[in-house]
Amino acid sequence: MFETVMAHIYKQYKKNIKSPSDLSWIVLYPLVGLLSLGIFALFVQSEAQMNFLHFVVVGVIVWYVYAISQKAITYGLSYDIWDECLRHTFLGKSTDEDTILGNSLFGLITSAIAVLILAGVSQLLFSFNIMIAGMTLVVALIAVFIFGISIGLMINSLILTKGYDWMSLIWMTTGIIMIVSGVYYPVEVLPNPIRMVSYLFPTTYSITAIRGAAGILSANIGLNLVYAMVSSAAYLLISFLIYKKSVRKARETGALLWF
Amino acid sequence: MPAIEIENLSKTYRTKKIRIEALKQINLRIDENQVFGLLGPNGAGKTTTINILSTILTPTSGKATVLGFNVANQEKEIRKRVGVCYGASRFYWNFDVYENLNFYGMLYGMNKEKRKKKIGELVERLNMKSFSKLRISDMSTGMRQKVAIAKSLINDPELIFLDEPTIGLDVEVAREVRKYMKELVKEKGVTILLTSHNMREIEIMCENIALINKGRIIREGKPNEIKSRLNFPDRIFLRLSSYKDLDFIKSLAGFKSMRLKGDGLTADFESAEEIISKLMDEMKSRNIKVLDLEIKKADLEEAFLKIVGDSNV
Repeated sequence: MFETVMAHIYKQYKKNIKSPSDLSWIVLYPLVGLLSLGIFALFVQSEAQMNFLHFVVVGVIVWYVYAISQKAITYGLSYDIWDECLRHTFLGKSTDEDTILGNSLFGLITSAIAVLILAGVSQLLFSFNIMIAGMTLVVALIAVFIFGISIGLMINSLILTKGYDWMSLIWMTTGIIMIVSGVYYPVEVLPNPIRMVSYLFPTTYSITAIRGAAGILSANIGLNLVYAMVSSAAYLLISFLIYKKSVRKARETGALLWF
Repeated sequence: MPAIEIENLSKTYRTKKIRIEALKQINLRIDENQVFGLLGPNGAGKTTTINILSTILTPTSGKATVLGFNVANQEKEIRKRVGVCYGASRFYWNFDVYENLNFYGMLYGMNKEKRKKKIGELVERLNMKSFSKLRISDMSTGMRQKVAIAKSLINDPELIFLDEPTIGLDVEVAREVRKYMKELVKEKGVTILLTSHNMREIEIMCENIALINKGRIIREGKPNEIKSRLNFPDRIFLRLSSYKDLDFIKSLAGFKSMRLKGDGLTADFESAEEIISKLMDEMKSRNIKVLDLEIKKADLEEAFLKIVGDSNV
């Protein structure tokens, strides 16, 4: 099993170091996001009732953990689709579980790298140490990571059953998560129907818990962490079952041979 | 134990608008340690059969076993024992030969040492050294096809599915690949299921063949048996110094017909090999000089076209 899991990490590693665009997802884009929004937050800081800069930095870091972990899963499939060699991956001894585990581990490593870079830069430029959130930060980010993996699996399931056209969801969902999870603003300011949706996402609870633990706003940290972990675990279970079913379906319809 | 056993296997592709019956209750038994050819026109069901047997596609009904394992519920056992090579295969375009084969070796659970040894062996055996550092995107079709063949052999399979494997390869390289495949059967005891449009290739490579058309197996047997069952004659073309007194030809064994055509004589026999020396002796005794001689054996292509033509009626 070790080699079959490592195969997916090897593929992702090679693909990322060979492609400046893919590597940017781990290093450049998070930095651009942090700097542009951090500097903007610095500008409007004086008008805000709280530390708006720290508020935004937490949102940005969490959002990138989500985006990078989702990307690890969706790109794991997309590389095979773009290079039209999907069938070879499914012909090997590697199981669905190996594929998920391998790609998830790559997502875990790369999102950890991104967090460390962003934490260092925010300390250096904005004098904000996100690490003061301690274990809350770790647990909340694990929940976000699991949520990213889960959404990635659901997107992959749609691509395998409905086809190539659904690939745009890879980029669309990250935008939706950004809007509804309160990355740049408190979810309380969202219009009522959207706010209801935001409570369905673990990212909302994780962001709130970290902001609470970092002393940016007052929040029930424990409760938010429980919501974040429980909902992430539920998403993971559901998405895993959907993914398994979609691979079975793809073997029936011949979808694995389309790409 | 047969390498492959298929019983009433059917595959129907269904969408909201269309329903395509790709395989209609086919039955086939392929014994171990041979090259078996599956021959048929485009859309006949050859690739669907290979896809089901390699477990990337599930059948609609019927049963198939590969190396004794059922495709319906023992996929993992099958996958680790078979290799698949598709014609015009694609791989990770920005990986080189080593990176691609290394990845696929890992997918089969091979450790680093084993992968390195196997990749080195394949690169050497398939003459890939000169382009092993090239990215797939920079390779010619023939080079890529060699990578596809190497990929199908990375896990030391007991059974290899070759779907149009020599497509895009130049004559010399195609011959080399065929030789290697035959060696694998002889030396390592593997079984190969080969599909090809190239009937000459099937004829050279395969001990047994099945003809498939419109999702049904329409003929099965040894290539020579299939040809002879159709009663195709061998054709002898002769250019002679004189065309008088040639009626003796009609009395030779297995004579079918003869006619003067263009600048020579064409005579059809059941078997050219059996009468050719007698024919030459008779010509000599009659002082007729043979200026030119050409023998055209009945080939599989003719048999194939005839059978497929009949099955389309």
